[in-house]
Amino acid sequence: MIASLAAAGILSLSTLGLGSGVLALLGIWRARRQLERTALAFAVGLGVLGWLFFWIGISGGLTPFVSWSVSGLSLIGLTAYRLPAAPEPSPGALSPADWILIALAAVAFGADFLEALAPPVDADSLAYHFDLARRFAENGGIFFVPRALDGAVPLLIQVTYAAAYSMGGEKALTLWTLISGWGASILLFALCCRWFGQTWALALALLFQTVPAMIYGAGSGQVEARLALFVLVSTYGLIEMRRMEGWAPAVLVGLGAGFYAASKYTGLLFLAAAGIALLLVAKRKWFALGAACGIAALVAGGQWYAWNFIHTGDPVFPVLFNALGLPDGPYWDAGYAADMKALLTVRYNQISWWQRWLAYPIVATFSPPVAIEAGRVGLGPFFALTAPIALLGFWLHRRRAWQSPLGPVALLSIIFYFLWLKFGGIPKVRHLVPVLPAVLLCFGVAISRYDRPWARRPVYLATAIALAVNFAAVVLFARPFAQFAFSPMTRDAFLAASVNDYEAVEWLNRQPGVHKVLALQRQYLYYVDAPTYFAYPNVQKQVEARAGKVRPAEFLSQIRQLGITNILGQTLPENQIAPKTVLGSIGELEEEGCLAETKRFSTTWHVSRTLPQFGTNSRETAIWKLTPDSCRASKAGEPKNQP
Amino acid sequence: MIKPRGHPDPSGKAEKRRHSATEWALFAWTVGIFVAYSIQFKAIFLAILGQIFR
Repeated sequence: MIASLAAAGILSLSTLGLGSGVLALLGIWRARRQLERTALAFAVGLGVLGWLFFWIGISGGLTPFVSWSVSGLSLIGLTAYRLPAAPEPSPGALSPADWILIALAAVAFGADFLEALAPPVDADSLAYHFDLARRFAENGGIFFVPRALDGAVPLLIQVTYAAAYSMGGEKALTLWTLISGWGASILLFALCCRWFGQTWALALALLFQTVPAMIYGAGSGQVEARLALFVLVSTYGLIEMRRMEGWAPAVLVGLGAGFYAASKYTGLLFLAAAGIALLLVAKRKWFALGAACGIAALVAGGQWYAWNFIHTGDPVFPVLFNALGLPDGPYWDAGYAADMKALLTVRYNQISWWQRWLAYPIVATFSPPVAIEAGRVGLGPFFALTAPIALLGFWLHRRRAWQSPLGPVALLSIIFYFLWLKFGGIPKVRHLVPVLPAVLLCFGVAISRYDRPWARRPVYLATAIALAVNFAAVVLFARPFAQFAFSPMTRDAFLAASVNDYEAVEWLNRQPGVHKVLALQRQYLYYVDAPTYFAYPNVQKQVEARAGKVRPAEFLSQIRQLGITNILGQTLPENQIAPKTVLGSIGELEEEGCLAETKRFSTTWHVSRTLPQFGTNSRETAIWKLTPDSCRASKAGEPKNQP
Repeated sequence: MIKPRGHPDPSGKAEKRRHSATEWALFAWTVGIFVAYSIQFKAIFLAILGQIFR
């Protein structure tokens, strides 16, 4: 635990060191307020850290020694703190409201701390955010994961996870997510202090940190809470463009957008939006400042697109396969491209056009379709509660809105929103979390501009209601982690209650001779000790898993080529298994003696780990072992039932 | 008859009434939104209450 704490602490300080060094070089450091420049340094440093460890990772140097050494060397950047900060205005005495908000922030942080002490349980994190980090760290370097949507994608944030895992194991990883998950709200608070008193600034930062999508995502491996830091870097740059001469703010806009693009494909949409906003602010200097921004973005984020291009020929794998006219290859082909296009069309059509273009905020708040995942992990009611006041505030000052330093920030958010609706696939509400602090800042200013005595009490009530809703979710979400922390519950018991199919994974990990596992589901990948290959249909080509296209002999050959020794996955009653599917092929290969079922579990599938009232389903999960010695198919070349 | 010029509401009562009406409208909006939100997410709210009081 001490080593993990030290690792997370050093990594945080090195992040600050990297960020403060870069900001000092850009001339955006001296004579800034201490909290503001520190929070901004953490945001910039997070991107630089991920950038640095990308190069270390692909050169095979992601070892504990190198990770500790690089983190230690990065502390040199902290010498920037010798440059003077701006004098702090004397803080006013804390009001009762301030004390309440600080106490609530402590509760929220405590809840996240309990989550950090527990083993990770979020399904997406176990499927790839943390799983990839663990595999990279154990491998001593980054390797290409030829899986669309969650493998061959920009992974800047996950590389920082890998550094944390390499330095201090799982506990360092979860503590690092705790620290990095709070960075954006601190930076938002610091920025808000430019416009508001500390009470309103605290309230907005706390609202952001505790919206259900953040409660769910900040303490886990979900990247959105950390991407908010990069959006705020660009926001800061746009604000500074109205105050500073020179190219440094434009570089900051580019760095933020580039780091975002290096962390998620939707960052490309943000980059486009930031570029448009910057060009409109730059006016006559549009070319020079646009070039500074573009070069910064390319340096900050281009590496992951080059990485994809080198391995697949498609920098945005697999989106540009057809557009670039790429030939069929080991990782993708025309058939998969057609299936992916169909899949993306289905995903796009999960909500109707009017829900997307006319009423998305209303639908997402009051009647969210399941696909947009706004039910349990939405953005809370604050925007709906305060919308009339914000609109009135905007209307009163509409003529000066563009001249405001926040005018370009509002424009950036709006452009990103529409680009995201058009190109973001399923518009899941949590994908808006990165721009949420920028929107909250603009919203907060608009509300404060409607400075009428009769608007104050409704705003107080709305804020109190929104915080109450958020904190109900905080308490509920933290409950299992508190149980784990304050009871004698074992790690395995906690995971069995929280991770679907964990019992099977635990059993598999105890078996000898498990060298590589073919996983048919993904929510437990992180906990499988042996290397895994996730054979999900449509997103990877190395193991054909698309229903109706799986042939037993080909399936056997493919998994042997990957070095698979065991298969782990949910199964179905025999009369429900269709031919030419993975399960159908497994059945036929069992008959041929090529596979043997070694264990079967009746497992309970929890619809929600936080809300057990949402029900459970019973599933059968099985583990098979490849049995090459008894395999008749490998001798004859084909199983007898081969169609 | 010629109406006297000057402030139409020297006592400020009409202005206060307007302010009060705006404030109440904003309160009504806030409560209405909260009720609508609660209805939509009643399953989650009930689950929260169930966990607290079980």
